[in-house]
Amino acid sequence: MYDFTLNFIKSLHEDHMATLALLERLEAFLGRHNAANPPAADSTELQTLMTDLAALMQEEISAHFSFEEEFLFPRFADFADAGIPMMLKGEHDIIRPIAGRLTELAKSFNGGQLTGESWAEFHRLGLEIIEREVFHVQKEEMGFLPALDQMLDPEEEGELAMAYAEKKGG
Amino acid sequence: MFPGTILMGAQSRLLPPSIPFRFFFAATFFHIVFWALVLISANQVPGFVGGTGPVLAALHTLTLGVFTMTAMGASFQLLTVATGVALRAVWPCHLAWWLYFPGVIILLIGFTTHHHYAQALGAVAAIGGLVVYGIVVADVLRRTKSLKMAITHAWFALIALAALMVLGFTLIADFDHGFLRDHAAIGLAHFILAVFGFMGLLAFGFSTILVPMFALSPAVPDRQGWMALVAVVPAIILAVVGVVLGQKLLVYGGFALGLIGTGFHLWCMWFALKKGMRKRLGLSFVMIKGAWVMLPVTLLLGAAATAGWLGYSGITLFGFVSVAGWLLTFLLGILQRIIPFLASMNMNRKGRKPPTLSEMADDRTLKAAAVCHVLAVLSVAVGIVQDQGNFVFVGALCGTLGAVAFLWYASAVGTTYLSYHKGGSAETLETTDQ
Repeated sequence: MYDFTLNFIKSLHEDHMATLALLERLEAFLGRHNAANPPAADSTELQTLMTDLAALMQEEISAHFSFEEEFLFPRFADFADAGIPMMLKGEHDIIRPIAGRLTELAKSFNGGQLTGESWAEFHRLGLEIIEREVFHVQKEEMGFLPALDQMLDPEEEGELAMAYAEKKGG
Repeated sequence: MFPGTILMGAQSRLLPPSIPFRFFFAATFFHIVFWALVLISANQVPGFVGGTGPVLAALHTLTLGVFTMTAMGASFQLLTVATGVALRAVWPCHLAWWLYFPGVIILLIGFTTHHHYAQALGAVAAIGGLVVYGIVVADVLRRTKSLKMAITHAWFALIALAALMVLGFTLIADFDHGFLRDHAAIGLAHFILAVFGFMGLLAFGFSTILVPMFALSPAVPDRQGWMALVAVVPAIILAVVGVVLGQKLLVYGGFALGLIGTGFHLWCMWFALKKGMRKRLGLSFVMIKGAWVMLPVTLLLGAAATAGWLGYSGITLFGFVSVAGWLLTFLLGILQRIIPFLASMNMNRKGRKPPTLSEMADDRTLKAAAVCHVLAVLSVAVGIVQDQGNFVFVGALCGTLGAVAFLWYASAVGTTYLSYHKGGSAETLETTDQ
């Protein structure tokens, strides 16, 4: 892990840390309740986890991914290698629908609609997103963000930080 | 530069997958051969201190067939990706393989059958492959400006490799011509250079790259990382010189320094895991952590064996725990992580959804392999201590089953990889986007 200098990249890094922390919570929860063994619908742990998950998926997909795709990938492609943003965008495209469906299911669980079938689907997609998102974050943390931190002009930081804040706020 | 930059542009520096995978699959194949040879020579394992035959063949199946094979595959692929320095050409990797793989097989046949010419021919071919490997790696190291700690470890590992090759060939010549004054001492020096010098230093160096990468942690602390190297290199030299000269004090000094260096290295590894963003690292890291525990145990056993506290079987126990308890456990942990990881890095065809790491193969086979491995190491170690071939036999049987399970896992990853590229198994993105 690299000591980032640009503040908005530090924010992206903090998003990743929050994502991984939540995915580890999710992984532990899924480990205790397998696909055929749904948790109690009124469990406080389930409710809290689903609320946090839905919020994170919303933030990760709506703000984080779209900010990267709109503002960072084009810059990276101009400065360095177009293949890397293309690969990362490809991963976003795989993760996005899974995250969308998980968010729907999480919200439905909190609305009291947990069935054996929906839990089995959630379990399968949950495990899938953990693996895909961890691998994706690994690539961004260990390569993309540090490179960006070194190649971007600090004068651009204000504009990018504002764009990122708008994405998150919007 | 920090170790994680390994993933930056990694895709563009990936070698043709057949290069690293042929070495990794050969290693998993030789893993089975190793335990099978221990199985058929179970009664000869306790008290083994040298001499040609199936036990020496088993030992070299592990050191040359599993350890060095893994090191070659990992060095060719990971060093280039991690350092950002591309190989000048791919053909030397092929040449190294075509010299080394058959060379090892011929050498092992020579050891098993006591056939001197086969030993010499096999050794020449295997050393030829290792020389090519050494030149390729040295060229990458020479052009690398970053990752100084890992690179320095690798330089010392190459020096140890050169020394162990010279001693190894001398030992083979001595089997036929008997010119060495103390064949056993040179054999032990060759063993220390191979296990702790070449493989140990590579394991230490690569760990400073791979562990932070998998745990998503900062680079290991410079000071402690360098202290580990500063302690371990003289430790190896002291142990080798002490063994050759028959000076126990030097050997004790080597083990003491080795323990200090191990302490610094393990501190670095603990730092990486503690600071890592990823805490749940799975079975592979259970194996790796187990190996980290076994390393100081190995060194303490070595010191106790040198002092004669472990009796007749002491040196055999030290040798076995070094290779099977520490290094094999470590490499099995690393291999089960990097085989699917590298396969996944090579599965990013546009418009096709790559499988997740867990979809590539059933990881229950890895759990079975891990359980069998632990049972095997414990049972064989008890057999050596008790001078009981039966325990060794049972342990080797467990080891063989575990090795088959491990190969099964690796083959499943390979099958998934081939199926993905043939367009057989993976979903297209369109079918996912519902």
